[in-house]
Amino acid sequence: MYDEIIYDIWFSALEKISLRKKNLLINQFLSSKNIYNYLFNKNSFINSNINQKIIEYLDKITVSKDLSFANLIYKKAVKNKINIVSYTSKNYPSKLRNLEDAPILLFFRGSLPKEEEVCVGIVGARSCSEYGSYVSYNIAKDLARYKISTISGLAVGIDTYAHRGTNDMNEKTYAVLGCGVDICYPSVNINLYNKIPLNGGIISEFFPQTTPKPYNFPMRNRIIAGLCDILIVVEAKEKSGSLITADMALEMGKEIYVVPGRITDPLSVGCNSLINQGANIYQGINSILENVNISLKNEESSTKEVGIKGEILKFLTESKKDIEEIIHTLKYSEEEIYLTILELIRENKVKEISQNIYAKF
Amino acid sequence: MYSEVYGSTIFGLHSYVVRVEVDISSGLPCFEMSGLLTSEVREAKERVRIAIKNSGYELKPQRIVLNYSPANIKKSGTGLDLPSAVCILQAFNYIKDISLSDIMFIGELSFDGSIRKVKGGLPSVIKAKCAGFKKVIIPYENASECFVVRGIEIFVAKNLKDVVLFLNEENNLERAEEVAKINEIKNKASLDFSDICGQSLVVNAASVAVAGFHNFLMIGPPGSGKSMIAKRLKTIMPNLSEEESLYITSIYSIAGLIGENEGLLKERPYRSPGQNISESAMLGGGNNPRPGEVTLASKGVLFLDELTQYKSNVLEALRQPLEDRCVTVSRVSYSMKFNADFMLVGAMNPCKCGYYPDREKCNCSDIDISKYFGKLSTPFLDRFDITVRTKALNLNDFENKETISSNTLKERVLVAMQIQKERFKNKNYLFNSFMQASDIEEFCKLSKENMKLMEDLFIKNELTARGYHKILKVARTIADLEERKEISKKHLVRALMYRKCINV
Repeated sequence: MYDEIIYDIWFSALEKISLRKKNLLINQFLSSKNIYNYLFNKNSFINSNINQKIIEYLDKITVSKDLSFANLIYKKAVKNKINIVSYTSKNYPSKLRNLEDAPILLFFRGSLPKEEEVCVGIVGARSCSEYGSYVSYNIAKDLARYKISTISGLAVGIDTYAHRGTNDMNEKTYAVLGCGVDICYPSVNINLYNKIPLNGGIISEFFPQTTPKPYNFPMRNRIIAGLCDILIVVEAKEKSGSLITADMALEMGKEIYVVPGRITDPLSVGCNSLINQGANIYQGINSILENVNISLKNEESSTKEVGIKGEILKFLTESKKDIEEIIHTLKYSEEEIYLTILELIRENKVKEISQNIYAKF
Repeated sequence: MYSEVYGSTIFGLHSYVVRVEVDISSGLPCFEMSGLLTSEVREAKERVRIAIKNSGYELKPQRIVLNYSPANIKKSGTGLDLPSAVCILQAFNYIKDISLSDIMFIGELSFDGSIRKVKGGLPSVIKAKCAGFKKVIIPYENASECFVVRGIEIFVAKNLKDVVLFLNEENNLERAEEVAKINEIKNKASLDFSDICGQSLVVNAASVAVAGFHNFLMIGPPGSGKSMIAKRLKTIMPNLSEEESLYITSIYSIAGLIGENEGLLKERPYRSPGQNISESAMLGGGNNPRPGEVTLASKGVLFLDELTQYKSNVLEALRQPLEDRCVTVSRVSYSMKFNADFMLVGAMNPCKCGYYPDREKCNCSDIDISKYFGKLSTPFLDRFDITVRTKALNLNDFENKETISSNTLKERVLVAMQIQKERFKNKNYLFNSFMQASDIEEFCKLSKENMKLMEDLFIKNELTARGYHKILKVARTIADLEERKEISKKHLVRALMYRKCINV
């Protein structure tokens, strides 16, 4: 009477069974409907050589028979244009099946990464520096030039810039959330939240209307680690969630690239320690491309700025600088420097982030 | 019996001549006063009566009625005690029956007959001179502020009896010039710009602000020297001219802020009201019109530290004085215009925690920052002609003793002031920041190349007309400081650098 998906929702919502057990169960029973039937409708149950221990386990537990809740979720999802895909569906990202605690259901708006699609995860600190945001944005842009998609968490900071970079190139980026797909968290990213599904997708394993609780985020990070082929950590403090994501990715056999930073910068401590543990150093798009076996097409030769513009941009690459430092360090006159900065601001290459303090955009 | 004598009262910032009349007649003994008086003046009833008695003059119980005209000006202050007593004494024939219409009497009376200091001594004496009085008798303690007024004989009296004897020509009163003791105002704290390490951009900007009387804003992290610099602005500001000094001293006299033995104020005022100040304390007003902070800071500095902590209605209320250089205070019973030509100096942090954009210390997001700046409306921030960033010091700056002394800066400022004085000799203002559009046309001509630069910025929507004028005025001051007649590209660009950042 009901679609498969209702049984999947019912199964996913069962609270007494751990995610790992659910994975075991569904792998054995081959469908949630089958599990339901075994429990409540033995006539329709299809026995496919199920492990005795598992049968014993199922015989002992008591779960709800009620499917109306699942039905409700499904109807609401359809109404709110939320797509659902289950573990058993052929559209389920196969990379996630490698997880021992893979989500039974994935809710999404937009689309999911395809099988052959190359995805690079970009993660990093929420309170990133201008350098971090610049790098994150441009890595995503560079990847987009080679039609490589990005995955991140829509969080403030590095995640946001990565999504923006890909989006601005009209390529696919996927945001995995620590809440329901119908909640935009953080709310400041509402613009990105609306734009991302147009090319890529907003994904979540949590039921719609789930609020972003702290314990949801490590769970969400494993999805990012699972879905990506390569993980790039841009900036991370000593104790950072991004390092946990990196660990997860490492365990799944993914390549980790790290953007190194200045040793005095607390935002680079995590990254630098990853390098120490053997992660690759990201030094430009070529590092990734070799790994992904994409032939190096002719790069868009970025017009290298020369002269005073170039020097200012170079000086600002390290970090933000205030006007006095720029005038003091570079050998041009005050007028030349300031007027050039005005021009660079017009060309969107430099931004005045605070009174008389400039950073590369 | 009838008698009339002259005194004065202060309303707002002006002094008015008051004619005190008394009528003594038979009838039930009483003491009445009329003429729109505040309670301060009404209390004179007891003071006058007892002072007269204790000075040795007995008043027969009669019906005494005093009138103070003009009856439509509200009379306040305690300075009318003395003329009231003199009037009564003359009516009772203790003083010779001669006309006292060319003398003005000012003073408060104590029970023992001694005459006490009053507020507003200086403006009253100035008014007396302008109104044609030949002599004025003032309290001893007001001597030091009043003696400078020329063209009128100023006598000081210590008690009522001396005044009576003087009027009967039985003794002399001392003159104000003889008794005025001006204490040399000791340089309170030896503040100097050389206390500031590094920060040459801010220090130069401060000198430009002072030289041209431009409104000046400092944005920076805690402890980067904003308050320090603000306190030292006085040390590079030129002294008041004599005319300005009379004007300012009058205001301070009315507000009761002239200290003991303090003569004419020579230094420019420096006011730094606290963040809790109310709108009427800032602008002036109240039941009896009193000058507010903006008026007390006229011709000097009004410093607002931690700009975002002030009540927003108070900051918004500053827009009129900043625009018109005066403030109109309207109440039910009066409408008064006070002068408010002050230089506004502000200090604030770049964000709530104070350290933006230093990512090591600051975790404020873009939203937090715009919320923080949001407390100050853009039109208000626009009023600042010069905005600069102060930097947190690091060890290098302390060791690198690149400092500049107040004297050096003051010399440059004085030079610029001289140039401006010459430039504006036919106008009624002294500084570049007061220039109107027509003056800018005349005095801030730009070379073709520079015109093109400004047009460029204008077209690219980075300048409004007001912004354009502001930049020219500041550039003019920068050029004056370097004693240049022409505004060069360097000056123009400097002025551009002093614009406030549009992103925050």
